[in-house]
Amino acid sequence: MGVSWTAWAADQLPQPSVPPAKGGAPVPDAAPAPPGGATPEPTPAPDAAGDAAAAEPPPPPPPPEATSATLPMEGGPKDRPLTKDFPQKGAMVLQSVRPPILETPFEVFDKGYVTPNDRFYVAWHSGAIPTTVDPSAFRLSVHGNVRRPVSLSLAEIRSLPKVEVTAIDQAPGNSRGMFQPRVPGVQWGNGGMGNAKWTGVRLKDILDKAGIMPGTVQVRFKGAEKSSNPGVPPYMKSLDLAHATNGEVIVAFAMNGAPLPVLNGFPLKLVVPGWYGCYWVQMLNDIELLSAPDTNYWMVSADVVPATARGDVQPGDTGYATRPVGRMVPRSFITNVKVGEQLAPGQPALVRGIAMGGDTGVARVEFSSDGGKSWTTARLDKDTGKYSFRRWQAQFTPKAGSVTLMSRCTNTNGVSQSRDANWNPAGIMRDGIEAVQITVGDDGPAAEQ
Amino acid sequence: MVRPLNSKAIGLLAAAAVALAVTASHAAEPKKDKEAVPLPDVGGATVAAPADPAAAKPVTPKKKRGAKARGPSLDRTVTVALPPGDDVYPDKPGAVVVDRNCLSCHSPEIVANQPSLTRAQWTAVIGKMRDAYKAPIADDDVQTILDYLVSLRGEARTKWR
Repeated sequence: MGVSWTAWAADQLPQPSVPPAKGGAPVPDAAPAPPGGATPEPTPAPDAAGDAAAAEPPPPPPPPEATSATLPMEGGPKDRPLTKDFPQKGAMVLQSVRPPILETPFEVFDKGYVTPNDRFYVAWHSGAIPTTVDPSAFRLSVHGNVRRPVSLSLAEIRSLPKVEVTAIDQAPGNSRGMFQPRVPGVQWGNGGMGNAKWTGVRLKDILDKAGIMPGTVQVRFKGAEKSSNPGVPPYMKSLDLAHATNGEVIVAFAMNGAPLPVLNGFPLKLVVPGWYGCYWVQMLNDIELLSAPDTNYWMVSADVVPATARGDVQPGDTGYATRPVGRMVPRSFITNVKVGEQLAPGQPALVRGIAMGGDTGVARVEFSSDGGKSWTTARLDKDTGKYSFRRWQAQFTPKAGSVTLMSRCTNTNGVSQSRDANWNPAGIMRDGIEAVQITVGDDGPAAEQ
Repeated sequence: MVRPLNSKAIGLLAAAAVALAVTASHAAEPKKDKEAVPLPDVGGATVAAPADPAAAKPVTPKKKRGAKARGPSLDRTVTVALPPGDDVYPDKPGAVVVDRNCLSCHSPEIVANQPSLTRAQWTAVIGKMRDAYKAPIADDDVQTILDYLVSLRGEARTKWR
């Protein structure tokens, strides 16, 4: 099954009922922003106010805006501020101010298979990110083992054939906070990921502009992010040449139909469908073709997992071989029921969620309302591409008591999520079944909790 | 459980932080060649849609010459303001030493969000910060920093094998 590459034309096709990405939303009749002035903040959702003029009883006042998020991690700390203080971003779960590390609030994933730009997770390695980007001066340099080094303007890049892919960008450490025993690092909940429609050009076409010389084995990517201290190598990641030129890896200049937010890599970001976000180099401005495998720190020491299929070791193990994290693994989540929520017994309940196949599509999702003793097949929503989220839903009739809900994804390669999550000391590449504990009581469905 | 220091400091910075200023200075007069294909403002709804993917590249620029660009654009300089973050660690013994050694690379909340860890785990973290990330931590400060970090959430009783 090939990737379904589509040109712009695809945007004319019927779209699923996903609201347009807010990050790209036009500011209604915004006059040109005064220099240094107005903030093209995403406008409030029209539905919030739009109905007010309608008839009948005035709508109940909107619930007070949440100011913090609770992440489902055993042992805590679970609470994080919700912040709106970052440019081009709506309410985000604050993990770190400097470097900016922001998590997508999990309820966003219940709203559609695409993650809006202004809610899309953010991760950087140092605090040293350019805060002014002039697209007309921006250049992408391609050098190293090439016939002729080139320095490409955005215009030159955008003159190459456009391609689009919907793909999940997931931090390798997404869900690190669920590792048991706990490990140090960014304590992500499950929102260190997002799914977007990426528009750009094939990396292969860019490399061809420079001419790949024989003997090239890897292609290394670097962005405008500087390292935090002298002597620290700048953030760089490499892909094998065959991967880099397979036509699936793209250099994106738009997500969800709009330029990238600065914190997601404006103006260019490498998109490596099916691979962890650490390869999706942001503010990409330098590509080097290597005639020997990359041994830079970020390849051999950062984002490495035990060299086993599941990147798995036992806590305390030592002396094992490691490899760079790479392909993603199947995962699935329940998006409309939160840990600790209450449901009414005897009433059919709809459970829905998202699934990802990892490096390939979703074959099926199963749902369990008894802690994994029995499973039913969930109904899959439409397929939006093998690297995209697949939404699913299932029904069950809760019985009173404490209930553990679970979902299990199997991808089209036959790989299923395991009951016991993998573990490694870096806290990356989590693959286990996620459980949501709820209470089914007689008090009826509780309000938002 | 919330570390209030974050939200407070962030709140103060709100004004500056949201001052996302997209200057309207059109970087360059759109060239005559087709590079100036404007990005759709949203959802691609207004983009001319060639049926043939091969023809997808040189879409002729939109008819409306004087149309204002809306939203973020690839044709304008973008300037954003990032909040600087807190400048002090939670006040516990050793905080001054931690401030001196750790703030240059990261603000405190990422540390405050760490769970209870073992001394061995924290020792490894400090080692990584010194060796890989070149934190200029003097030997004499290592123990102070270690004790401080362990004091934040207590020492983990891990069931390592």
